[in-house]
Amino acid sequence: MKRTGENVDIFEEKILEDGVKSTRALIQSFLQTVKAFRLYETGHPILSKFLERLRKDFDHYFNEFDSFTLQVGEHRLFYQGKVVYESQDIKESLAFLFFKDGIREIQFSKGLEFREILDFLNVVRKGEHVNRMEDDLVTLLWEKDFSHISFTTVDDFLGGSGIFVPATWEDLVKGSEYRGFGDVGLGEGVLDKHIQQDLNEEGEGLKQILNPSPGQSLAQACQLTQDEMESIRQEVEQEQTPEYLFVLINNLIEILLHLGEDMDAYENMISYFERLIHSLLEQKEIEKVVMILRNLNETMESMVLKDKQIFAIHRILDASSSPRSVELLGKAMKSNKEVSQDSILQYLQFLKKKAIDPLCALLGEMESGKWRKAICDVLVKLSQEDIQPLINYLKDSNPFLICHLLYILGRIKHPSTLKYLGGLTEHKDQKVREELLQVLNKFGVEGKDLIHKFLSDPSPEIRAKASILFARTAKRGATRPLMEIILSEDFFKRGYEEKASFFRALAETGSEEIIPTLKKISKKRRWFQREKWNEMRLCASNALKMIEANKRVVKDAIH
Amino acid sequence: MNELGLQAPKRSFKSGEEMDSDLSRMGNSLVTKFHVLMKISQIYDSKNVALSQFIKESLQTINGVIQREGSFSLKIVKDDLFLNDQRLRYSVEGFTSFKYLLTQWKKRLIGEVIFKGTADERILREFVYALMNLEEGREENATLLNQKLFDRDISIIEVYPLEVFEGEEETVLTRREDFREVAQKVFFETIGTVKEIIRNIQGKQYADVRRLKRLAQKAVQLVIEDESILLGMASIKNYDEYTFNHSVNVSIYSLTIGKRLGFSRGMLTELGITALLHDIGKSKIPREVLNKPGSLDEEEWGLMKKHPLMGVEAILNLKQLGEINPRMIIGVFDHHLKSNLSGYPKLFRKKKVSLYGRIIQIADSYDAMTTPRIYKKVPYTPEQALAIMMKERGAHFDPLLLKIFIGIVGVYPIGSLVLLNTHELGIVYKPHPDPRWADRPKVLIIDRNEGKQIKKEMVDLTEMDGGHFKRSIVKTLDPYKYHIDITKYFLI
Repeated sequence: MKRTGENVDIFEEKILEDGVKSTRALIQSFLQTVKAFRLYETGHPILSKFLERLRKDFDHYFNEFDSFTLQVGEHRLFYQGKVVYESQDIKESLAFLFFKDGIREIQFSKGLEFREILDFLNVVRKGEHVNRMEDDLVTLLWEKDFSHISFTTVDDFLGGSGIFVPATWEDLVKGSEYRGFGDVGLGEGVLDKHIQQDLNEEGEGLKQILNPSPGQSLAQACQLTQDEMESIRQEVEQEQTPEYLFVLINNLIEILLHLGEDMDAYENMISYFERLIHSLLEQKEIEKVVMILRNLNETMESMVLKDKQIFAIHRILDASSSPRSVELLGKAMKSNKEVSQDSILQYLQFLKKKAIDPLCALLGEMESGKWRKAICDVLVKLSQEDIQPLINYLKDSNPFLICHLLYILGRIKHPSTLKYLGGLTEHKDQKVREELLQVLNKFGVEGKDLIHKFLSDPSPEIRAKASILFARTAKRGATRPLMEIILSEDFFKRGYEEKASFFRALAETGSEEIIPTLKKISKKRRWFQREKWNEMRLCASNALKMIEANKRVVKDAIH
Repeated sequence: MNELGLQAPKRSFKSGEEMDSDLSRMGNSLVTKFHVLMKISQIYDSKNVALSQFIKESLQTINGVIQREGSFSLKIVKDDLFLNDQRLRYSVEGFTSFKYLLTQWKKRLIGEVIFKGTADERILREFVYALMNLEEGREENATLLNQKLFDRDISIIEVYPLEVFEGEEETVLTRREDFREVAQKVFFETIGTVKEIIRNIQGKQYADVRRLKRLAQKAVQLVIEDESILLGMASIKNYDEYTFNHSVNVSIYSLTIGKRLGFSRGMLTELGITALLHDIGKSKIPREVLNKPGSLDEEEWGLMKKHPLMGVEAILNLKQLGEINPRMIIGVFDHHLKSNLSGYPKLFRKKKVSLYGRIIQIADSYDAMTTPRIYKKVPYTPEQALAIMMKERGAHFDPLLLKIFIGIVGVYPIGSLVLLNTHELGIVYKPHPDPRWADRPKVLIIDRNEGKQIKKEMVDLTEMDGGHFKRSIVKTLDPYKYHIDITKYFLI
């Protein structure tokens, strides 16, 4: 029979064994998640699965144990003296990653939050590629200020840096630039004389300045009152609020106005603002970006600035129009998150010409009619002088986008527009052709040649509409082409609406020469496909009536 | 009762950032009330009627937390206090109380106190006196205290011993000496690193900022654990070159102010680095101008006034610092702007000096005034410097931050040579952690023997003898007049 002591040993060994086993499994789970982090973007479903599993593994672990401490060796991690991880591959080794930056122990405690796990993973991932002149794993971990992860380090800089650390006062004196006097000591008599002199002198010390009230000690006179404490507490608290960003931005703009000729400094400031704008857009904080842009705009308008400062502000304002910014703005527009719509509309007003391309791309995918309209309005504004960037998108495969661009071009009415539209008269999508026809009408007589092409469009509705528009834009010049179509062999077989439009169009040309032909049609009878031909006759007589009526109107007007 | 088994219940802790603000406020108030009660228990005996009012006020807070939370646990984890598993961040006014509670509980090896229900006057009174009467350093204290509470029929309070975390035990033993040695190395290493960075900037070479960050983080750690050692190191002036040593001193003073303001570790590190680099712009000013024995001419002065902006440009170009940190840039830009916005650079539209700027300005001015320079061989004594700064408060310095600063360095700041009413000469070595005793620091008595002074004895000016203080400061003296080099007392 075993003795109790032996039983206790076996029991403790079993506990240790279980601990090692669980820790090893947890580290494996952690490693797999680190690998997934290397392979997949944030938010990727596979990565999310790994993270979820890791979270569960940590929870499970802490149901059994309160904490665990890993000792870090060059190639191995130890738990209670047992190896729980080993890798000699310094490129891959988790142990080496920690070891090389001086981490010798990491402790995880119960209560570890998922956010902390994520932060820790991010630090490990970042630590693999960090610029060693800038950061290392220790500086990155420190910045996270974890509550449930602690670590101990050996500090390489506390030795071996080559920087001399004076060990004695003599060393210190030797290494000092200027000391002002020597430490020679005074004889007792001299010292007492000095003391007596000092006691007789009434210098202006803290007591004289603060003048404490009777019964109040000097220390009490220096203490903060409750109100003062509250005021400084509020100020410190305010520094942590998201709104404090505006104070920082105002300060940075002030500094920007002081920068001199060092172009690198401007570039770095610009780059900061660019990143800030992107970061705020990512968080859908459009209102904050608008405030920054407005501030910069007002600065430029209200102050006399140096060329470099103007350049820098322009560059920052331009950043709001970058493809990335517009893409992020689009996400905010599509988002269900509560984003101030007014802010988005205001943001759109700050966009520059470089936003045209990304805006066109965004327009093509935007579902909300409200935002489509807003984007079209901005594109109209931005493309007034140069429509070329828009033209490039007329070849887009998305007919929906082309329609919107035609609408925009129609609103701009740039003289050069028509020369780019010819190719679209035969566009396979009917909506595009319909939109084009509308736009061409806005160009009046200039658009007549392209409208003419629509008289032979595959769609009867378009042909019908085109006939009227053609007559209105080409006037008498439309007579012959319209007549040719009307008199063509199969025209009478077309639908009544189309025929009616063509005859009406013909009447609208006001040409006298068509009257005999119309009369002829109205009187002619046919037995073959009689109903269709009768429609022709009706249309012709309606056209004649229209012409007569128009004549009367003109006569009445003359008399 | 917990059967005196003393196994503290297992809890998970939340970080201070996420703690709900009401609970955080209540937690701060709770710590303050405990501080007051513990302090008062040292002055009055438990039957004293004067105590009653304090107990009643404290009960309001304690029972308020219990009503909201059902029960509460106040626990020490390393150097933090957790209320119901959430880390408490102390507020400006709470600093002294946190420090006091941590120190007193740690001395008595008490790590956690749990209130399981509402308390009354008797219970609270019994508890506080039983706690404060525990013998310091006795391992069985938690068991003894629980037993005492049990004997007095108090079942709503449980206490647990201080948890010593792995590796912490040995650290505690060697702590102070280690601290001093580490602090000394960090101090001089940082001077060397600031020098390297400035030299690299001058030579347009790549500067090792990682090293600076790690040193700043180490300094933050030291300041959090015991600021007095680094404050003592800041008595060292002009080691290597003025600017390098000065930058490190400014950083130390700034960190201690930031600590009092309750800054997080992250903010402290940021402030520490900003202070270390606050004069980086001087790297672009010729040494002849920086070290000119006489007064500067207009052109030289104009150049000198540009150094904050030059510093901003240098930091903007120091890409190794990573993401530009607005507070850092603004702090450097602002450090010569006075509270009334005079000073330099002249502003266009800015209306207020930043918090970092105001902190660094106080630290910068104090260190500059107390450092001998070629053009001012005898600097101001620490007390004179504080007096001048106090005179300029409002217009030049932020009066509240200045008061906080005086609370840190003491009315008789660290490194002051003082004459005591016992006719002894001493050097102020460590300020009292409680600002109410800012005029009663720890003083190192030095020999008045002819020749070099040597260390004699450390005395605490709060020590009493027959109802009177044993020693008091009569006057601060100018060490230069007495040919005493203060710095040597702050090296190991």
